[in-house]
Amino acid sequence: MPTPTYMPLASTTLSGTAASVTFSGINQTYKDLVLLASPVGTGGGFYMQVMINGSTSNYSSTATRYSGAVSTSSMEGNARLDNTWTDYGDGSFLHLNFMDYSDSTKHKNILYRAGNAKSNSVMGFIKLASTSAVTSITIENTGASFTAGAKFALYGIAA
Amino acid sequence: MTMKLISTATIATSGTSYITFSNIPQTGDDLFLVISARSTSANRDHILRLNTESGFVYTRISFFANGGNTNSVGSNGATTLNSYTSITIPGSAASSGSIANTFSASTVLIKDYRSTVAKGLLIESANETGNSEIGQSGMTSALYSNTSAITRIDFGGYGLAVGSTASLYTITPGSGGATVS
Repeated sequence: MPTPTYMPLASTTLSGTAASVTFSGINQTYKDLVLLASPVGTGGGFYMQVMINGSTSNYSSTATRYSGAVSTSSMEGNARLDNTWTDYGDGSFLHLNFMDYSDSTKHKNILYRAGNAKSNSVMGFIKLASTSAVTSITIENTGASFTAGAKFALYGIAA
Repeated sequence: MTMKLISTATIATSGTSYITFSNIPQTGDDLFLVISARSTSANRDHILRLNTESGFVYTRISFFANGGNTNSVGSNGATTLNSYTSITIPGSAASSGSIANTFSASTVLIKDYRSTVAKGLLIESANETGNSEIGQSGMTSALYSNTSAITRIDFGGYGLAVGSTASLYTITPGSGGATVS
């Protein structure tokens, strides 16, 4: 008999501005996590980035994107969520899969896709070279702020 | 929408060719496959095969970041689609040369897997090696032209390392809400 999953763990809707949103004390009983967000904010030309367990180093990433009628790709050594500007208002979205987040034998992988029909769409991947289980996730709006109405929700996926 | 786990498979023997899901329950609308894989060879582009079908019944188009470059491969042309004997997924397994503890991350959505028409697939796949070998991330659209319901999925083809896993889910639409037509 199939087992129901995609279980809501936590969510928040901002009532004011905030530079970042953190989910902490994450339940360790699932295999994967999904984070969905409507990340409206301020500041053009900035981007969001993700931090696992507060770590600011040991990330590597690739992304491919379509923006301004041009498709480009990149390979970087950070946790930047490429081309995820938040100043385009309603309709911005962010969808992240944290794979094997509770597995202490694997480095931590994030598949993400993000965009806004007013500016761009992007699909990317971030790896954190750490086998530690993911207990906290921070989404930061670098150089800018999230604004009231920005929504973030975290789900657990069983296996 | 309800998502339910069917089962999870984990590779316990190095070099196992495929992860297989057989006798897939015929209860949902869509299938969702989540893969975390490492190859025992240099080949990162493992394959997906449905119902053990090895005829030229698959078409696919992939685009992906390959380091700082954008690549595209697969079927092309509106009227002369190339067909394949399986669906190759770029970067769906971390290569054997990746640093320790490194695995890929991929998801596969198979729409209307019980239908009597061709099935569409939307695939995301990525890996980072942690060394000088460049990483990949990208998307693949694929079509399985057979009209039979999908009862079996095989993923692999080039040797899978211990710890590689795949989890298969069914997706069923909810009954709440209203439809306006």
